[in-house]
Amino acid sequence: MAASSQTAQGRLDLPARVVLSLAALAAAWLVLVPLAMLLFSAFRGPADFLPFEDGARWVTDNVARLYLNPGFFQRLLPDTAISVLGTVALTTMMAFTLAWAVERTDCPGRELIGVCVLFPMLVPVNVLAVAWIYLMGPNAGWINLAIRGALGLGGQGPVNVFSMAGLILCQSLALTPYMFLLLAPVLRTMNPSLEEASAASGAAPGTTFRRITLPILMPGILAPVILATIITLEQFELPLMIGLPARLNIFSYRIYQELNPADGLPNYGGAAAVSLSFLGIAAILLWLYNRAIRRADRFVTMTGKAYAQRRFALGRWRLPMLTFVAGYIALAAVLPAFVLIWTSFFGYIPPSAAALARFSAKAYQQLLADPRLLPALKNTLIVAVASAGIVTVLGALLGWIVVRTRLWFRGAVDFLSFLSIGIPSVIVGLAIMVFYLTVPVGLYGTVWILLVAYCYRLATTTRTARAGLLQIHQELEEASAASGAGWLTTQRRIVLPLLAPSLTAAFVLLFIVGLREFTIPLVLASDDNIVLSVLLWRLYQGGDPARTAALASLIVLAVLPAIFLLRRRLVPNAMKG
Amino acid sequence: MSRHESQPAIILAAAVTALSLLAALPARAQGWAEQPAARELYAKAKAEGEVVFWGTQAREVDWIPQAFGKAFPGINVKVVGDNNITTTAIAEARAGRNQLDVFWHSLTGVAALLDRDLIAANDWKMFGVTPENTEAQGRLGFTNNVVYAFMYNEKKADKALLPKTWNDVLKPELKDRMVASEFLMPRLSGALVFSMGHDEAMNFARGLRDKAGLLMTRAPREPIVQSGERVYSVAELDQQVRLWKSEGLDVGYVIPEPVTASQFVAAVLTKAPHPNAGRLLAGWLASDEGKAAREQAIFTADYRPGSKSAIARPLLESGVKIYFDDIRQVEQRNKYFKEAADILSGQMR
Repeated sequence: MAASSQTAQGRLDLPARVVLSLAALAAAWLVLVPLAMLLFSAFRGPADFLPFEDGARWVTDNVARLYLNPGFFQRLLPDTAISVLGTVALTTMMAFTLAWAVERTDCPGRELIGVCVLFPMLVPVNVLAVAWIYLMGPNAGWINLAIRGALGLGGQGPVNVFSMAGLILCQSLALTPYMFLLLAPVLRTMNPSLEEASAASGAAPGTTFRRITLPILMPGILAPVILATIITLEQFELPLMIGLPARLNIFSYRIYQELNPADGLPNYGGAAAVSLSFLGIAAILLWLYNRAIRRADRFVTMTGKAYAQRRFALGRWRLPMLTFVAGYIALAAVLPAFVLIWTSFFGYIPPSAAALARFSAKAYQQLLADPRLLPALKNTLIVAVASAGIVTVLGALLGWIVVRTRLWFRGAVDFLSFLSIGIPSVIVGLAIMVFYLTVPVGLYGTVWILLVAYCYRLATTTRTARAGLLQIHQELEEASAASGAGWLTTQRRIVLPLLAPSLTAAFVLLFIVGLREFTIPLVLASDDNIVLSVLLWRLYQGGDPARTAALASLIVLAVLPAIFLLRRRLVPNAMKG
Repeated sequence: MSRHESQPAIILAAAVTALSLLAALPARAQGWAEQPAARELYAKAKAEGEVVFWGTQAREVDWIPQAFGKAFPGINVKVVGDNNITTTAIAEARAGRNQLDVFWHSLTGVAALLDRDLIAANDWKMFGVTPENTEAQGRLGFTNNVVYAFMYNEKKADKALLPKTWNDVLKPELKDRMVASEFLMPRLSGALVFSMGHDEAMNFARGLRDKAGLLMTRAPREPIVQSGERVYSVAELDQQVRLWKSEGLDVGYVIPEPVTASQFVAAVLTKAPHPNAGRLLAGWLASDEGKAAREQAIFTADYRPGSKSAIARPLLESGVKIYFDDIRQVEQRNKYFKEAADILSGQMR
């Protein structure tokens, strides 16, 4: 790797050594505690004891019960593989198209599209699921009623949301914003000179895309693809709502089963045993990723030479592109938004003229009178902003260690930060709870314990920072150093501005993830650290759809403009032609 | 009993009448609460000033501060409604961080705390609670039940198809028309083992999977039933249907046989930081007054013999046998639930 090989450990100045060492230590601390708990729990039993209790002992039952079960190979693996591969493929296609439309073309309404795409991330999954069941339910789905009415058909279908195809579509709609956020900055910062040279040499657009654009973007695309794979493996809401009715059995359902036994204690050991698969898959994906990008100089597009970003004129493709974008936004944003707002005023009464008489703003009144609302809002903002900021900075530093240095621990840092994504959040919550109950440093029960727990997700920023750094030639940093600038000055004035789009995207993503996270704060909940997602979850679990939807509506109303402004302020050239 | 149909209008009217009568009573009954021992306990509880209560869901706990405060003013009630309370209670107890006073859960859900000696005995008699309504050597007081029901869309269902027994749910006419909660359906199937026997209960689960085209999901069932995507919902809780009905949804329910009921209990922690307030709150929840307040707030009923619940009366007067949870069956129930979950999800034949 040419770029990294030029900066040896010996050339780092003292501030660089201090900052990078602290970052590595913090990362190790944040990830090792939950990772150790995951490995520990997988081999502790029996199931009616918590892993750390006195009666628990070392067992292999958790692992054996899962991996020696014929159903694991006959049902669980095939269903999981099809679901994950299908979802990742469709998500990549949709997210890449949307990101390309927003960042590299003259598609109209780009700023609006860039914000609307994020909508599914902000809405509770149960609302998304209800919207898609209303639309694609085989008996009474609006699409099916329209098709059957038009063709004079009876019976069910033809569209069935409760199927593998339905699950893949719904998961992809929900996952596209994550990948969009990670792909957009990669496309935004790409130097088009190579594409222009290809075109000038007479290559057709398709050839240029296949032989120039795709290879250059490889690290930037691979990172989100890998993250999407793990997220799809881990998330269990849509498989339980949409997949289970189709008798699809996937990993995340097993985790859910282990954590929600009939009575008594969750089987953390069983859940951890399933999670070991995630760690294995994450390790393989990391190896593939490193293999794919081992010649980093192939991906450098930002050098000391200036370049001008030009947008691709869609021409006759404008209408198909707008149709695709409109279709996505209708399915992923408009319909869920309608269901969300309707539910907040009418509960789960289906839309009809007669139902309008039942209009009530009581849910909003109750919500605004709820004494938990303001503390939850304050805690949420503290934790989501601070954790996103810390993880973004840490991830950038870790990415720099991996790409630019030969420090002896860089491989371990890379491996550890990437594995963080394979640890289910419930295990993280349990690990943090047990650790800070055992080591009483006054964090338990406060909002700060949430901050520590949220910060374990280093994989996202490490990957994006790494992909971003691979596109920046080291000559820029060398020129800065040759002009007498220290390491910190060079990072602040050269690297950070160039990485800003990637890091902003990572920050926004982590902020939204922090906003939505409910498993960790639920496990660590106390009177003093309630956050909005816990309030939302408790309202939903308590069977109060109107107040749940009212709170979700308020969150969306507050966050969407914030993201809009954030993108404009922090990435001033993001969407300008 | 031929069929335990809710006949919602009649039931609701009866409930409203009964609740009006209950509301007319003094908030604190003239019985046990006026006895010297109870008055002394109240004085000590008031001196403690606060009580911390954990239950399984927000809706199950949010009504308590106001209702308890009306009966026993001067004690601040802090509540948490969450499914993780068992783990948190054990972990905190192990670390010596004792902040919880009263724990409320299903009879079997509290077993993990009993096993670890985290639950203290209470003098339930002081609150007018009979020994039949306590369990585990006086450490648990029964508060309420939920009964498994069959819910239907009142506008779109064919009432002739409503089941009298759980096996009637497998009628071919109901095929592809039913939804069920992935959480509740395996629990009902597992609980039916104690009335139907193992093989019949598991065949019931297989029938739902293979013949009935059951839509088992974690998605909310009420919009699915309301929209007509499915018209019936198996394994609902009677209380939940009453709540939805009160919120304006067009739903009703019947209770097929064998009638299966879950038992919920209140318990005081051994290291409760507010032991007197804890004992008073737990005792009040298990008393007739506490049960009536619960019924008024969230439509849950006590179906045990001797219950004064207006909601439970039609079922109790029908003389049908009700199969309640039994703490001695916890381990078996857990095993049967897992088996049923594997069958229903298709992981097991």
